[in-house]
Amino acid sequence: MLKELIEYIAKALVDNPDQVRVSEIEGEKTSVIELNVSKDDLGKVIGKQGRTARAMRTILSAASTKVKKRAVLEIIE
Amino acid sequence: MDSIEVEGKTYEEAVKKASIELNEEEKNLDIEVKEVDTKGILGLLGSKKVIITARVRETKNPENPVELTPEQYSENLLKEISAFLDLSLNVKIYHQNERIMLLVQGDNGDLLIGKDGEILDALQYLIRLAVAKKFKQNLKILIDVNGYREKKKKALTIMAKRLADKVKRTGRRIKTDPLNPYERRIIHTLFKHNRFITTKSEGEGHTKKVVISPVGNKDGKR
Repeated sequence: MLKELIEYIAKALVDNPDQVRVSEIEGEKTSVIELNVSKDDLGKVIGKQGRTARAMRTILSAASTKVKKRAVLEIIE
Repeated sequence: MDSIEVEGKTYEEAVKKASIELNEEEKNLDIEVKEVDTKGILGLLGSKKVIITARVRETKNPENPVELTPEQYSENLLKEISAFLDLSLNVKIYHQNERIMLLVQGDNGDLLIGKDGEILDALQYLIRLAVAKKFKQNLKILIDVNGYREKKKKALTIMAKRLADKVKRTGRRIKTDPLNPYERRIIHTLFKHNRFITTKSEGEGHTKKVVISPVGNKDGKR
């Protein structure tokens, strides 16, 4: 569910939605969500001074408290 | 797609009939008024007749950007993201000062606010980006949940007025806490026409402090 959330948001922000790949590495308490986008779209998911990435992390942590987990968003370069 | 001709006493009735006949929701229909026939005195008495032609709009795909308005798209985004948070919310849309306002109401809508409106701001920012991307124009979008922004605006106004009183009394400038652009605008607007007070933003990045100074003494130095 966390994975789908990030996928949904990322796809709405990038120029190449078909190149958005998200994977989830589930730990006991923490999930790592890895976001892969096309090289040209990196700036779009990070944003000025990382603002977009920060906003996504905020939403992600809101969603993860729902499932009583911690989630970390990693943007893969 | 063929169009059909429907007759009704009122426009609404005709549209409803067309909707049933075509087995399609009203919002997906293209309607053209063909004839409005009013009989009787000023149309108040006697029979009235409206004839419309209706057909199903060809592309109903919600992903299609030509179909969706920025308003609908932002509402969709908001609802989709809320659904991931297990929230089902009631969204009302209207325009104010060239802004798209999305008013959210729901029992557990407060979960969308977060600490200091953190989640709400993040959500609003992402939705604005997505809308800007899709429609290639920057539209101002404001999301409010259960009147949170209104309450915050009131609290800010009270705080700013109190600080301004102090500035007037002491003749010294005062800085607020770090505020986001929307919050700063509220304070700037509040003192726009004030003869005794000037305001300006100070600092770097997204959140800046607002400096409230007495007029004619902008640096706060004597």
